[in-house]
Amino acid sequence: MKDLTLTEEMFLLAVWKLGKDAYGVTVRQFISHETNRTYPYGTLYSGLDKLTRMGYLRKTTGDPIPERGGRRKNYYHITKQGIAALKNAMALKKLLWDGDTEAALGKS
Amino acid sequence: MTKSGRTPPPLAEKLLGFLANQQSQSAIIGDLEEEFSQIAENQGYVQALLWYWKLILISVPSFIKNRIKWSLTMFKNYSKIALRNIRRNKLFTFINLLGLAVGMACFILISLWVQDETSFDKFHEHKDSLYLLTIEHPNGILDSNVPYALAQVMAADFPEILQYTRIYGLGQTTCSFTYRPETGPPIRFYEDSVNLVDGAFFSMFSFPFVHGNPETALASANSLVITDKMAEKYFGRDNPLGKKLTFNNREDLIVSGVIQMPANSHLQLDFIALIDFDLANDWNWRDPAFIRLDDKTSLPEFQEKIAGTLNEKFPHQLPGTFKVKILPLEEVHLSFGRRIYVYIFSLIAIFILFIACINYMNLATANASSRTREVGLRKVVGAKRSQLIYQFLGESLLMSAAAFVVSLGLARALLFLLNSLTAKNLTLFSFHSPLFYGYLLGLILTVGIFSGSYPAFYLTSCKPIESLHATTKFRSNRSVFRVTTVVGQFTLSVLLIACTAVVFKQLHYIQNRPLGMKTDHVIRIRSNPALLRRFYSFQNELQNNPNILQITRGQADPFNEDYKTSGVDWDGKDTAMSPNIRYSITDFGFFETFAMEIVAGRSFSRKYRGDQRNYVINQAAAKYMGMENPLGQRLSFWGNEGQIIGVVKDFHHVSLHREIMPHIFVINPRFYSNWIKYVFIKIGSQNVPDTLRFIGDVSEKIAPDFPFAYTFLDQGIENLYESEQRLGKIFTYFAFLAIFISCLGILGLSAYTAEQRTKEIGIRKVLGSSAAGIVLLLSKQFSRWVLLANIIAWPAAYYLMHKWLQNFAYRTGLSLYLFALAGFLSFFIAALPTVYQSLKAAHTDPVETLRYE
Repeated sequence: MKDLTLTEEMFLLAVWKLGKDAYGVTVRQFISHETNRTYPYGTLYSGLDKLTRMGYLRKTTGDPIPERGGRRKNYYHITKQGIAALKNAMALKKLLWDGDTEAALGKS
Repeated sequence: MTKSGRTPPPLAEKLLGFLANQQSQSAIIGDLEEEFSQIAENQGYVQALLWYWKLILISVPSFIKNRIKWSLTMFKNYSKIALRNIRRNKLFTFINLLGLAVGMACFILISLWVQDETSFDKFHEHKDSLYLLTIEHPNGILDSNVPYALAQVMAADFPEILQYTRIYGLGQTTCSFTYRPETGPPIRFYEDSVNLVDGAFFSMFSFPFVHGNPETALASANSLVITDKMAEKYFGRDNPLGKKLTFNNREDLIVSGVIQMPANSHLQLDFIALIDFDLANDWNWRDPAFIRLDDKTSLPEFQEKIAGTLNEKFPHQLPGTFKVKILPLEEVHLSFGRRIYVYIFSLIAIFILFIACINYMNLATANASSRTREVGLRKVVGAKRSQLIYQFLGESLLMSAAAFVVSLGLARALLFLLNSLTAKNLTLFSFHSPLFYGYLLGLILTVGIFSGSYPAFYLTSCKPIESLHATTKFRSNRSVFRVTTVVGQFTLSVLLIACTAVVFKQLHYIQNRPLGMKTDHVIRIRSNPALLRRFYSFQNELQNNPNILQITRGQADPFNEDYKTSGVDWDGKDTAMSPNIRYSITDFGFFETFAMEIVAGRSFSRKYRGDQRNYVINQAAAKYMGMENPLGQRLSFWGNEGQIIGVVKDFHHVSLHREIMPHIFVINPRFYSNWIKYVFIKIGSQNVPDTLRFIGDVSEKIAPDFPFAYTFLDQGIENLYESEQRLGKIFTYFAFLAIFISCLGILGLSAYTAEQRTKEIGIRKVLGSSAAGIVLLLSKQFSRWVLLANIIAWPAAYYLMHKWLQNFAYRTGLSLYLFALAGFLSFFIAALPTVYQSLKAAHTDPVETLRYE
């Protein structure tokens, strides 16, 4: 399994946390709310698409609603592989951060 | 809810639509619009607008990156597929490449020629204000020669004319120059292009000076300006300025300037000197004249003002209205019969290129069944139609670029042919203008896009399911296009073959039509002042040789006597009439030398005293002057009274383009000997080299200061029809090219058909069909196409050639067998590749073909 990049990890996490309500607007707002970072739409959508292609996300289309000018939403759902990838990423981080690293970093 | 009017900026939305890829586009726009309306609600419309724009703009780079990445990936895929196709269909690729390359090479060469033809006289500084004086005859023909006095008279009358110059050609008399170096023998040559001009010549025309300068070059009456080529011929590498050239052993001229004569100048003058005599009352009508107009002149008005000048000023009554017209200098070169050739050849170039493009289309669409599956699959996995179109256009552009490279090589190799046909010295990259390179690039693009367009739209129009499911259905219903194009191709080919045949038939006709004279074993030598003076001793010496049968002299070749005059008077002439009669100044023995038939009276004879004052006319002249019995009638020529003593049977005194016209023969050497240009000698058919040497020796003895040069008269006749011969040759080459390319197309198509029907042929063979039967089966289709092409081409060829033949007063008929010949040839040529392919198909083992699958 390929390791996730930080951005991908963030997108995956957001989709997972948002549960059934994960689509473009919510994902973007979630990330900018939690991390105070704004992602340009290009990055956001191509990131989500890439995760979809990798099999970590699944895309479904919702019903068209008037706020959106009658356009459908693309909902994203995390797949089993996606969850596995997230776990994997967390484990990797833990492994790397293991020991006194945090304290040591704080001192210097 | 979005309040009315509170929608995201449409421009930004468009931009987004352009950047995002198709599938997720709608969802993205939806997401943005949703968020936009939220912000608009909470923070106001302006904030929302700003936010929207910011988001779009910062998204641009990553969208673009994405795009480039994908197009690169697809490009890699496209090129891989293209290369695979090329490798798989080697024959088709070869045919396409060769056809396109030949078509393009032909196009490039013709473009070079057209470019050269249209570049004439553009180097003159005052080109926009220089005009040639012309006269429109009552019959509509535009005459580039005008009376000498005309320009001078007009310049005095019309202030718009700033300057004028006449070109007084000394070509009709003998011109020779002698240079006597301090050491070594004198250098002498006869020259054809010796011209006198008015003083304004070099301030009107900007011929580049190598030595001397335009202001002083024609300062005095004995100044002479020569071209650099002539300078080299006489003086080698010495500085020519100030050198003395003796004209006709009589007059010393000093070289005062050396000019270059650009190849794309319609005036080609080797020697230029000043007109130092008065031409104000000389209404002889032989040479051109140019004027320079004030830039402010309104042309239509001026045109109208001058139109009647000639009728008004001409000393005699003119028969009808002779309109004076002016022609811009730049148009002069193309105006007298050349423009039509520029059109014809441009058209042919486009034809041939078109035929080559059609080949590409045909083969690409014929090959469709193998490609439709690819297209179907691509569509299934989500390719847009526009992407597929780009893919196919890209392929044809690739092919066209490759063909272009080959065509440059071909053009380079065939350039010598073009140069020998057109007597030019063109090179492939002689044009320094970037425009020409742009033109070539345009050629690649046009050919690529044009030939790729039909396959691109045709192939990509298929529905994925159909194309993946069955192959046969798609092919058959669209072959109308293919039939049309193949028929079109063959129509053009048959047309060209038929035209070639007609041109050659006319040439044959011209060359074999009895001219009313015999020119075999007649040699022509240049006359010169010494020879003129001692002509009778020259004649006596020559007559000692039994191989010399006749001697006479004249001002022009008997088959090209085009000097016309109005200075003829006879009893019973209408006083208002200004006659237009050809005349020949000749000598005793003229009719005998050329074996012309005298139908009434007698020829000039020394036995009759006073015959020098008498005249012989041709039958046309007798009719023209309304004389039933012309013998003994009074006639005056240029004021010299005499009698008509004989009527010669009409012979072709001008080329067969024109009718035989009224003609008078004059021999009075006392008045006219200066006009004599040639001596004609009829020799026996034995010991020709000895006879020629003898004539040379006598000439050397009589006229030691002049060079001896001779030609056989037969050659002169050939030269009369040089342009037709050239046309014939060019048509042959083009017809060959067109047929070649069409054949390539037929070859490819028949190969394809044979391949498609492999199984059918196998089954037929198993059931007992013979090879001949199969060949017939496969050829039937092509024969039908070629037949149709013939039906279309014949009337077109008939029309065109009928028009062309109108150029000739004496012309061959357009017989059916010529067209039948073209038809037969086209059948034969189309049959070759077809039969070859079908034979190949017919001889394959049915076991092999049926096992397939």
